[in-house]
Amino acid sequence: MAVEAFLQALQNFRDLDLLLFMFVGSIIGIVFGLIPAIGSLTAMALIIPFTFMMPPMNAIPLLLALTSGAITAGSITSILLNIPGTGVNVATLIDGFPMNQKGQAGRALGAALVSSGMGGVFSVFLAFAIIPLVLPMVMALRSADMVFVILLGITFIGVLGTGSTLKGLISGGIGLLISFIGYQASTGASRFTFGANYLYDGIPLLPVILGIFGLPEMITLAAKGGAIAKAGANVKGVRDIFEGGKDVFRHFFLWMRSTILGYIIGIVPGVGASVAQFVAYGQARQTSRHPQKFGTGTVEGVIAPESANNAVQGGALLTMLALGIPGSPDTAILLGALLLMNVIPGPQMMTAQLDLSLTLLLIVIGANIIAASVCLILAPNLAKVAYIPGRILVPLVIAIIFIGAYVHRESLNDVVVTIAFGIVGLAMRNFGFSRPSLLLGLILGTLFEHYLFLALAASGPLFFVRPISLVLIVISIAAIFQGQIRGLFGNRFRRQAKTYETKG
Amino acid sequence: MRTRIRTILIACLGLVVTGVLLAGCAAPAPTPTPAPAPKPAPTTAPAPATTPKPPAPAPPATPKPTPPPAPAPVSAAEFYRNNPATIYVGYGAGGGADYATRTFASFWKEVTGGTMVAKNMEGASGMALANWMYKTAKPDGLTIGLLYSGASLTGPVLFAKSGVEFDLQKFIYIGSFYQDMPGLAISTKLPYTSLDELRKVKGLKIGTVALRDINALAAALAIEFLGLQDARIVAGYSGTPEMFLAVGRGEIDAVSYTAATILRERGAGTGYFKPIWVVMAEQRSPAFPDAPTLGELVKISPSDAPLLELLSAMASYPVIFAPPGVPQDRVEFLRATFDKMFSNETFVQQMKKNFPVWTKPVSGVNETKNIERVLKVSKVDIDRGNALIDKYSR
Repeated sequence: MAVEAFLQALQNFRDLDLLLFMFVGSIIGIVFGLIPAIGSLTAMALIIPFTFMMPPMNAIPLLLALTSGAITAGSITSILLNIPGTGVNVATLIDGFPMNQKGQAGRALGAALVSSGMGGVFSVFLAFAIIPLVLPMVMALRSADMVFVILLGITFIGVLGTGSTLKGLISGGIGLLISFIGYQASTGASRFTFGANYLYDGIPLLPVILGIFGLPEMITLAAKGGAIAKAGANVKGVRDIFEGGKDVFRHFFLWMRSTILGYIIGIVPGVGASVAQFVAYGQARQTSRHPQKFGTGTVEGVIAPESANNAVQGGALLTMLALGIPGSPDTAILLGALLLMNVIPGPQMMTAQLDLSLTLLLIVIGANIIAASVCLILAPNLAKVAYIPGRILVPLVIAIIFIGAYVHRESLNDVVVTIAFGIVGLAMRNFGFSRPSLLLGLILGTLFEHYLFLALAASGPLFFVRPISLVLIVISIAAIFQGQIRGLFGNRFRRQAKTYETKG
Repeated sequence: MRTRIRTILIACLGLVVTGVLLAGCAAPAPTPTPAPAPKPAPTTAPAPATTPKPPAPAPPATPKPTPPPAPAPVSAAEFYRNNPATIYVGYGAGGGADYATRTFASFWKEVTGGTMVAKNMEGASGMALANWMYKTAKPDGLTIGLLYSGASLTGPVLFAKSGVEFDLQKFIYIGSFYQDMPGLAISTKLPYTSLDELRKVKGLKIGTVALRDINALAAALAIEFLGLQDARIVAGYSGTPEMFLAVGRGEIDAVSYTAATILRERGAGTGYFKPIWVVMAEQRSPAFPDAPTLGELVKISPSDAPLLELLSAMASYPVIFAPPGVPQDRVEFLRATFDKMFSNETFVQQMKKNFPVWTKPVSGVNETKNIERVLKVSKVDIDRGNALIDKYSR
C-alpha cells in the first residue's frame, strides 16, 4: 500500500499548478526570510487571507514552501547582520556572524545554505522511512518526558557563545526569569504583569530578538565606523560559497547527526525548531575536538543548527498530520489552513490518506531544493553586505528593525521593548554575556514550565519515574558532565598510552 | 563611483520595500469615516480601573463617551454601502475564530453592498481586543469585533482576571454564531460504562485548557455533584489538540470541553473518547440528544441550582459585538445583516466547515439577554464556583 501511495503522491506532485505554487511560495518565503525581522510568521499571516479563496492543492504547496523558504533564507540575515531572519535561526548567528566579521561571509552562507537544503531534503527521506513508527513514538511520550526533552536543550545554556560558562548561566537565568512574565495557564495567575495587559502574554519574542541581537551590532558598527567585515579580509566571491558547501561534506557526520537530531526533535509535538537548533549547536560543540573555537566563527557552529532547523520541518509535518499538534507557530497557522481545506489531521493521514501526506513531504523536498538553490545564486552578491559602509547600512537596518518590530502585531509597545532590549543587548555584548543563552532561557523557560506543571498535575511529584524520562535524564547528565567524562576516559587512555611508551 | 551609485540604488530600493510593507501591514487601525466625529473628552473622568477588580460584575470606572454626533442623516444601509467597515478578531491568524471572521467579512458585500475588512488583534487571550473596543474604538458602527464570549468576555469578568477594563453591559451585541455547552467525555482506555462504575474509581484525572473558565467549572461541578472519588482537574494544556492527545496517551482519563469540539474530535477518527457522557447544562443539546444532562444523572438541590445557572450563563461561542455608543439605526442594521447572513445557505455551509457540529445562531437581542443573565449571577455563587475549582485542581 505504501508503494501505491508513493506512486499516487508522485502523480499528484507532477501537477503543474502545484509546482508553480510551490515555486511562488519558496520565493515569497525567501523574500520574507531575507528581510530581517519579518519572518515566515508575518508572511504567513499576510498570505492566509488569500489562500481562503484558493483550491487546497494550490494553497497548501504555497504555505508549505513559504515556511521552507523563510527558514532557509533566515540564516542569511543571521550571518550577515546578526539578526536572525526567523526565531529558529538564532543559534546560527553565534558562529555565523563572527565568520562574517572575519570576512568569511561567503563561506558561512555556503555552509548554512547547503546544510539547510540538504537537511530539509534528508529529513523527508527519514520521514518516508519511519512513517509506521511515528504514531507509536509520539503516543509513548507524556508531558513528563517533554520536561526532560526541553531540559536537554536547557543544559546547553552555559556553552552558547564565547563568554565564560558562569556568564552564560547568568544570561540564561535572566532569560528564564523573563520567560515567567505573563499569564500562567495551569495556575490561572498573572505574574509580574503589574496589571498591564501588554505583559499578559509575556514578553514577545520577536522584539527581544531584534533588540538584543540587531540593535547592539548596528550601534557598535556606527560607533566604530567602517564595515561589518574587518578590513583586509581576503574575499574570493563564488569560491567562498563553494568552500562553505565543501565544509558541509568535510563535516559530513556532524551534518548527519544534526539532521537526525533535528528530525527527532521535530517529531516531538510542541517543541520544534527553536529547541532543535540549540540542541544541535550544543552537541556540535560538546563533541568537537576544539570546543574553545565555538563562538569565534567556526563553520561547524553554522552547519549544526542550520541542518537541524530545516530537518525539523519533515518531522513536525508528520506529527502535525497524524495528530493535529503543531510544532511551531508556523505549523499552527498551516494546521488552521489545512483544516479549512478539509484536510483533517488524524491517524488516517498515515493510512488511508497516506498519499496526501507523501505529497506534502514531496513539496517540502521541492521547496527546500528551490530555496537553497535560489539563495546560493544570490549569496555571492548578498555576502557583499559585509562591505557596505556603516553610514549607509546602519540607518537602513535600524529602520527595518523598528518596522519589523511594529508590523508584527501593529503595537508600539513592541517597539519600546525592542529599544529596551537593545540597551540590555549592548550591555551584554560589551561585558561578554552570552545573548543566545538569554534567548534560550526565554524560549525554553515557557515550554519547560508548561510541561512541568502538566506533569506535576497529572502524575504527581514522582512524575519522572518512567523509562523514557529516566533515559532522558541520563542523557542530560551526560551532556552536562560530558567534559569530565571524556577527561576521565581521556586520562586513562593517555595513561595507557604513556605506559606503552615507557614500556616501548 | 559605480559601486557608490549601486549602493545608493540599493538603499532606495530598501526604503521603497519597507515603505510598501509599512503601508500594507500597518495601516492605521480605525477605518475612515465621512464626518470624523471628534471624541468628546470624558467629563469627570475617574482614573481608569487598573487594579484587579473584585469578581462581581462591577462596571469599570471609565465609561465610554456617549454617542458621537451622528453625521449627515443618511440611512444606515446607505452608510454601510459607502463606508468600509472593519471586523477585528481577538485571536491570531489561522484559527477557527479567524476563519469565521474572514468568512463573515467576505459575505458582507453580498448582503450589504459595502466592504468589510477582517483584521487580527491578538493579545491577553482576547482581552486586548475587548479593552480596545471599549476604550479606543470609534463607536461609529464601522468597527466591530469577534470574541469567544466565555473565554474573553464573561469568563474574565466573572472570574476576576486582572486587566479587565471593559464593561460587559455596555457593549452592543450583534449576534453569536452558535450555542454550545461543555460536555464530559471519558477515554476509551477506561472500561467503565455507567455512573455507578465511575463512582467506584479513585483518582480520575479530568483535563481542561484554562483553569478559570466554564470548562474547568464544569469539571469541578461534575466531580462535586457526581461524587467522583479523589478526582482532580489537570489544567494548562495549550489547546484541545494537546489535551486530546494526552487522553490518547493515557496521561489523563477524561476531558471537560465544549461538547461540539469533543464531537468533532470523535469525528476525526482518533478513537480517544467514548461518546459524550454528560452534558453540563440545564437542558440536553439538540446536537447530541443522547447525552444526558447532569440534572438527569443526579438530583441537584435548590441551593446548588445557581451553580448550574452560572455554567449555562457562561457558555462560550463566537460573539460579534460593537463598542458602546453606536447609533441605534446602525445597530439595528448590523443585527439585521447578521440575521440575513445566516439565511444565506452558502454562508452557513462555509461556517459548518469550520464548526461541524452546528446548533443555531443567536440574535443580538437574545445575546444581550444572555449577557444580562451572566451579570445577575451573585458573587456568592461565583465564589463557590471558584472554591470548587481550587478544591479539585490542587
